[in-house]
Amino acid sequence: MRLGIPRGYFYYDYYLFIETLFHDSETELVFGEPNNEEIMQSGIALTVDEACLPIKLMAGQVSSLINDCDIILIPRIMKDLAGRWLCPKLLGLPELMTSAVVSDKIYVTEPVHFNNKNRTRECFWKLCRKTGMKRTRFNNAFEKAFGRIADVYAGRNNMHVEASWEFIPEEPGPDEILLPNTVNVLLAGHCYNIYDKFTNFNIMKKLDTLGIGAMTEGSVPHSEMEICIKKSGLIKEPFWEAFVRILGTALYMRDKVDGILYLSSFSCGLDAMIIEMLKSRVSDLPIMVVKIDEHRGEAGLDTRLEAFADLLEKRRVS
Amino acid sequence: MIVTFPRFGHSAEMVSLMFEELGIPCIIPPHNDYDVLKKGSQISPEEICLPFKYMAGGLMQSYSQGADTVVMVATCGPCRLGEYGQLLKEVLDNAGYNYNWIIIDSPAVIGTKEFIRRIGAVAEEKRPAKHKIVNAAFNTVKLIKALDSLENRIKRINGYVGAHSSCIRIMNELDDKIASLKSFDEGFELIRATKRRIRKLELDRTVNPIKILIVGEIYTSIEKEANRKLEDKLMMLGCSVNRHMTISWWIDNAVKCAALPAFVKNITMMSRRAFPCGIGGYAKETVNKIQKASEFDGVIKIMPSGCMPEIVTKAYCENTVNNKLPAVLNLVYDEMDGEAGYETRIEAFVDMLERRKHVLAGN
Repeated sequence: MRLGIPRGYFYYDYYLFIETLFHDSETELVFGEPNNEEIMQSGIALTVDEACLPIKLMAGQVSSLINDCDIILIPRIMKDLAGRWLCPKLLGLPELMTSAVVSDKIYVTEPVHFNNKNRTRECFWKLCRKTGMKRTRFNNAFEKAFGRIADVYAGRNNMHVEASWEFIPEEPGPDEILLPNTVNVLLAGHCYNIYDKFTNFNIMKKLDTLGIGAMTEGSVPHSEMEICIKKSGLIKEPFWEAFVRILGTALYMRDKVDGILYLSSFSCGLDAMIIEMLKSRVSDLPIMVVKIDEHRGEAGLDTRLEAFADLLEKRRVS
Repeated sequence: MIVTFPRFGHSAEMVSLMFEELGIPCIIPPHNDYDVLKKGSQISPEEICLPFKYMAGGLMQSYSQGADTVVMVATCGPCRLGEYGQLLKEVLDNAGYNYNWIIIDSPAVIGTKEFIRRIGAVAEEKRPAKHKIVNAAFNTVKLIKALDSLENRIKRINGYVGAHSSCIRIMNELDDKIASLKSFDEGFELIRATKRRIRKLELDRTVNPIKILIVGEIYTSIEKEANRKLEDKLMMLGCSVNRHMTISWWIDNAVKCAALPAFVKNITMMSRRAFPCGIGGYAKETVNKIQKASEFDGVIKIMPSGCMPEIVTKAYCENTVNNKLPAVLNLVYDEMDGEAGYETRIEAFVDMLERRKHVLAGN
C-alpha cells in the first residue's frame, strides 16, 4: 500500500513521527515532490482566495499525489506535545483539503491531541489498521515514534533539523568564495516557511552569500522556550504552539544573534499577533519581516536582504 | 478605579448598568463609528481582524474620558479573539494608554481560585454584598435575553409589515433609548413599551417575504457598525431577517460548555457531520446552522477580513454548495468604508432570491 504524505505543515514537524511509525512495514511512504511553480498554480486554483500560501501549496501537493497513492494522509493535529493549540486554519486543514480536492483517497485522522498519548495512539491505530499493520507491531512502532517526538521536544536530539535537511545550504562551487559569516540572524517563523526552499526562495543560501549565519528554532529545546515565555510576564497564558515557539526562541536567542528575520506568509492570522509581540518584547534587535505570497517577486527580496545585511554590518562595526 | 470594557453589542450598556447597581464606577466606550475604527487602526497591527481595531479605538476613547481599568473576558480557544487581551495591552501601552488589566480567563486554565480572585479584583473597593452581585448579574442576563428576543421579533415581522421603515424606526429608537438607560427597571419598562408598539403594527400574513439568515463571526454579527448596518439594509429591502449569533446565544453556549460534563458534549459532537471538533471561533456552529437553514431562502455569511475559522467554513460551504444548501452570500468586512459595493451585492442577492422564490416557483 502506498501512503501519500503531502509536503505541507506536518511534514516538517512530524516527519520523524510518521517515518518511524511506518519504518520496516509493508506500507510505502510517498512524499510529495518539493514545491514548485506547477504545484503552486494548481493549489491556487483549488483553494479559497483568503487562504494563505502554505494552505494553497498543501492543496497543490494533495492534488499532485492523488493519482500516485492509495491513501493520502491528512492528520488533524489539534494540540502539540505541550498541549497548545495549532492555528485554526491547520485545525480545519482536512475541511480545506477535502473541499479543494474531492476524493475518497484522502484519509483524515480523528482529532489528534499529542499531549494525550493514549488518545493519540488510538487515532493512529485506526490509520495503521487500514494499512494492514498488526497491533503488537503498531504498539512498538508507536512507542518509538512518540519517543522520538518527545526527544525533540526535550531537546535531547535535534532531529527536527535533520529531518528538514533540505534547507542546509549547498557547498560553494569552484568559482565561489566561502566567506566566513560575520553576523548571525535568527530566522523566525513557522516551520513551513523556514524549511521550504520554494516558499522562501532558498533564503539560507541567500543569507550565506551575504555572509550572514542563520539560526532556527530547531536548536532550542522546548523547555527553554517555555521558561523564556514565563519570564516575559504576559498577562494572558498563551495557547498557540507557534506563539510559544517563535516568541520563546526569539527571547532565548536575543543575546546570541544580531538581528531577527521573520518569514511570514501573507494574511497569516497568528503572525499578525506574534510579530507585534516580538516588536515590543525584543525591541533591542533589528527585525525585518518578509511577507511571502503567491506573487513571488524575488528581486524585491534580494534588495531588502542586502539592505538588512548592510544594516547589521554597520551595527556590528559601530 | 474606573472600569471600562470593550464594546460588544448591547451588552456594553447592560454590563454598565450592572456595575452601576453594584456601585462600581464605569465608562462605556462610545458607539462604534468610523472615527473609532480610524483611531484603532492607527495603533493596531495591520493584519489583525476588524474587531480588534474597533476595540482598540473604543478603549482609547474611554481612556481619555478617565477610565483606568479594563475588564475583559478571554477564552483559550484557538481563535485570535482569545489573545486579544494581551495584544490590546501591548499596543495600548506602547501608545501611552496605561491601563490596569483584569483578564477574566476560563477557570480551566488559570484555576478556580485565581478566577475568583480576578472577579473579586473588579469589585475590590466597594465590596458589594453577594446577593446583590447575583441579583445584578441575573438581571443583566434577563435584560439581554429579553432585548435579543425582542429584536429578533421585530426583524422577523419586518417582512409582513407593509411599511418597512416603521420596523427600522422602532429598532433605531430602541437603540437610542438603550443608550440612556438608568436602571434595570427602566430597561424592562422600555421592552414592554416597545412590545406594545409592535402589537399595533398591521401585519399582512398573506405575503411571503424573503427570509434571510445571517451567520458568521460573532463580533461582526453583533456590532451593527462592524457589518455596516447589514440588517437595516435587508429590512429596508423588505426581508425577514434572522441572526444566528446573539449575545444571549453566546451566554447560553458558554454556560452549556462550562456546565455539561465531557461525555454529554462528546455525544452532541458526534451527531454532527461537519467538524468533529471545534476549530476555534464558532466555525462549527456556522456550518451546522447553514446546513439546517432549509426554512430560509438565503444565507448571508459575514466575517472580518482574515478571520481564520471563517475561512475554513467558507471553503467548506463552497464545496457542499450542491448538497441542497440554500444560496450563500459571503461578505468580508475590513476597515475600508466603501459602502456602495456592499449595497450593490446585497441588493443583487435579494433580487436573485426574490426571482427564485416568486417568479421561478410561480411558473
